[in-house]
Amino acid sequence: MIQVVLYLILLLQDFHPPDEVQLLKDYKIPNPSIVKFGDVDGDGKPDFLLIGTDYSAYMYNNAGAELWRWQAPTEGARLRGEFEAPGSIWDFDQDGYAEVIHWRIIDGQEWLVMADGRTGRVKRKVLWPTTPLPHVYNNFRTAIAHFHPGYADSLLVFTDSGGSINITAFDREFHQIWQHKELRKKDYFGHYIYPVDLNGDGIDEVVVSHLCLDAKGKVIWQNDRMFDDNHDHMDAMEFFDINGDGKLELLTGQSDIGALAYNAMTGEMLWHNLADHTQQITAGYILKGMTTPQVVVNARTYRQRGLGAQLYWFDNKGNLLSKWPAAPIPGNPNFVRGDWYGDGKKTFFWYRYKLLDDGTGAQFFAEPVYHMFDFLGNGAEQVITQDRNVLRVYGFKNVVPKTVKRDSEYVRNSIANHTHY
Amino acid sequence: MAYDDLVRSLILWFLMLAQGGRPIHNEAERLARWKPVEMPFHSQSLNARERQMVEKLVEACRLLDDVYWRQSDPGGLAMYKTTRNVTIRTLFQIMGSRWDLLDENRPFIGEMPMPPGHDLYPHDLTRAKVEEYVKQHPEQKNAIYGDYTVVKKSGDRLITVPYHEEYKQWIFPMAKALRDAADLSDDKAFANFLRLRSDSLLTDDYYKSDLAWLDLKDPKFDVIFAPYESYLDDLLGVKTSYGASILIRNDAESQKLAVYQKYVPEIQDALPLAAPDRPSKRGHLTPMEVMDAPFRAGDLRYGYQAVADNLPNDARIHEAKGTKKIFFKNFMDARVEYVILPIAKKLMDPAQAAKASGEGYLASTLLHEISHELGPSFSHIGGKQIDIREAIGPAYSGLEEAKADVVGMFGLKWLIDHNALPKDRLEEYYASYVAGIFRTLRFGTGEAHGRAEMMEFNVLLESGALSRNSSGLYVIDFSKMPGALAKLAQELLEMEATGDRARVETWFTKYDKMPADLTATLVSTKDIPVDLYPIYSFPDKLQ
Repeated sequence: MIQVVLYLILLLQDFHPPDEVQLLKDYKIPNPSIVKFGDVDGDGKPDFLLIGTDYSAYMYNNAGAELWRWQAPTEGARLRGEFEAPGSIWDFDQDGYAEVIHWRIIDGQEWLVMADGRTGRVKRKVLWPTTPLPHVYNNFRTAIAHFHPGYADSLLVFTDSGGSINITAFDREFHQIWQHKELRKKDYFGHYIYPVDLNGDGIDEVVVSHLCLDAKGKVIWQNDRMFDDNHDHMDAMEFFDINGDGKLELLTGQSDIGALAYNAMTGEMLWHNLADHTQQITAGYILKGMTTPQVVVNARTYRQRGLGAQLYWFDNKGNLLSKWPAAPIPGNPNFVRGDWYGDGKKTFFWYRYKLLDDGTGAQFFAEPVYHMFDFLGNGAEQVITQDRNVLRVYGFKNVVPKTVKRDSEYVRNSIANHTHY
Repeated sequence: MAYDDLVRSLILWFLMLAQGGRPIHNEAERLARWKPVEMPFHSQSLNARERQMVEKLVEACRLLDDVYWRQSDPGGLAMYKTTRNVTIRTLFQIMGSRWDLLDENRPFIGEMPMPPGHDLYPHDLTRAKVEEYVKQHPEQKNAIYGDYTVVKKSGDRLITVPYHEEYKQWIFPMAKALRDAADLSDDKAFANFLRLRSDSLLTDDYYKSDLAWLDLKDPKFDVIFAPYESYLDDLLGVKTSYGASILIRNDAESQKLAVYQKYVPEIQDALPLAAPDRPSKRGHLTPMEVMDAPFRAGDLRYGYQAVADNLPNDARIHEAKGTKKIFFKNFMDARVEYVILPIAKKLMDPAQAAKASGEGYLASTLLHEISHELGPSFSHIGGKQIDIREAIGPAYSGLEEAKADVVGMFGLKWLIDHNALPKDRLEEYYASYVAGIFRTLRFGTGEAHGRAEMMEFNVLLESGALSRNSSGLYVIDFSKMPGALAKLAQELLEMEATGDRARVETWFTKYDKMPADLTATLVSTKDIPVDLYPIYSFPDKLQ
């Protein structure tokens, strides 16, 4: 009760961000399921795609003007609205104008569509790689993968129809490269698919919860006997070298299992610790006085009304360092991290807060953080917040603009393949 | 609602109010129900070779523990080995898996339900699927129903892998450690047994080494070391899990057992069962040992702590030589002190609670173990001899534990009636037996012993041998106990003799539910540990 009262007091207060926070963009948008970013009109600035809860798509340019929209049918909208919508923006043909990948229904069939980002015109389409209608839409996701040397132009499609879960790889022409299919209950493989170069050979591996595939769809490891229940999936995944061996470890939040670290190439568990219903996870050098990185998770509590959230800080061996705030606060927040100050160092944000080096936070924003990348192209990285009809971009007020080369891998890893966990 | 469900619900309700959260696992509350008790290894009286031999046996036990975890819960093992959370680690150390046997085997971490066959079968395999598969592939039946095989899927087929192959990474060094221990033993018979048992581990054939084990005469050192029990197999009820205990003789207590050994054949002859179904025990050796157990591994280590055992389980051995009864004195003392007597004081009529004693509990436990050997050796179905475990299926473990309890109490009464024990001890035995039932029921009914004693309790209530007074305390009608127990003994023995699976399942379904008033009464014992968990002198070294 005390927490609720405190929260209400907080809401009623006028929030004044710190002086260093500058509001850069303020878009009024339809309440989306997801927002994806990419340069579709070739002006060098990120445009954005809203996909609604019914899977309708709305494309806006950087100035906030609508470029096109595709209206989804009302039939089946409730089922689609139960989970986050799929979509990606990526320049598959490298012509400087990114294409939009999303779901459409055409002539009563579900299609995976590659649309012209400027007009919405269908450039390619292939049947959505899932079970025929009717079905449910537990976790439908897309991601851009690097499955051969050179430019990354493969598309991964993850479809969880509850009972049947497919991971399908396509080339830039929408020819299917491979498909991995499993009969599992919904959510068994979590909510997102992660193409990541785990072994440093320049080619991605694919991690989707307890399953790791190579670029040809062959199983590298699978921990299904370790976690055989669909509720114990990896909700959040972060790839970070926490032990300094030069290789990425897989860090996961697994709901009621807690926070875990795995050898990403073998699936071997490295450490575990408890955190309340662990949903989001990130890692980095954040706390002062520590020479090794820390792992921080967002622990969710189930309140009588809504969700609560609290941070658990761990050292790189999984030992609990501290919690913040002292008691969970209402909300279901995410982490974002990036070069806020433009000084080459990462700054971490959670919910409305910048994370401080003592493990606490200072409120920076009125809305929850959503994404973070170099939106302005000024060499720093800006925080994008999103709350219902509001999409805002904030940056460090005193940033010194500089030219930083943002190659296609930056765009892929930091913008296109961003997930909300 | 079972007692554990009630406690869990109350805790959840309280925490929801206090925090508005959803702490569904309540690790600290789960851990608080177990009493840590040190089980020291007293090496002062041992010479250097004996201490080295014990070290070798500990090494073998640790390797066996590695195998047990692969049978029980390899995912849980990964968390056990890597978790930084002390409470979670201790819960793993107590349970031997991620499933809490005090909570109907619900997970204390994560949400994965306990696979009925643990990791001895594909997790999604059902009994019905196995039976259907075996109909279509009768040539695989023996292997699939084998005691020492792991069942796996290969495409649409089921395949089996013998234990000694599946777990060879640990079995080979385990067998070597036993041979090394044999080389350090001054007891030739024990050394011979260790070498034979080493061979058994490499072949999954325990017959010869079991015979050698039963031939040991009052050994100073002994071990239980084999896959004997089928507690992990709720799918077919046949597959064994590895268990081990190092045993050091307690001479003074062992000598008191002589009286029971003497009368085993007579008790068998007196059972309320047709003569052809109670083969004579005359001339059969019934070795009994009272031992201290300074180290345990595998299924003897986890969950509730056995205070006695009766092994091996092979019916061929029962026919040839009987079984060996082992009483773990250090564990029994701890259980009586920390659990049984405090419970009796809370739940029973004070005058009757005062009759419960460590001696009484020892006697009922001793007769329980003896009684595993009593009754029929096989089921007779359609003129054929069938292994009782196979005939009864998954309910076998509960039936066998109930039979041992009830026939044991029948046997104690017989010994008193025949002046082998003093008449004035009978009420003490009954009071100790009932106090022991309350202890077990606090575990819930998810495991064989709990299900068995829940059934016994309900049958005693129905017969009037047990009742609840106006104060909510339980009262024994000592005059009705002998008749009620004899009748129940007859029922259980006939179930085993006939191998009538339907009769067993009907009976247990009728009697294995916890009455609401008992659930409520058990809440008053919430501050008493449910059982102990041992802290050994030898550190864990799980691989």
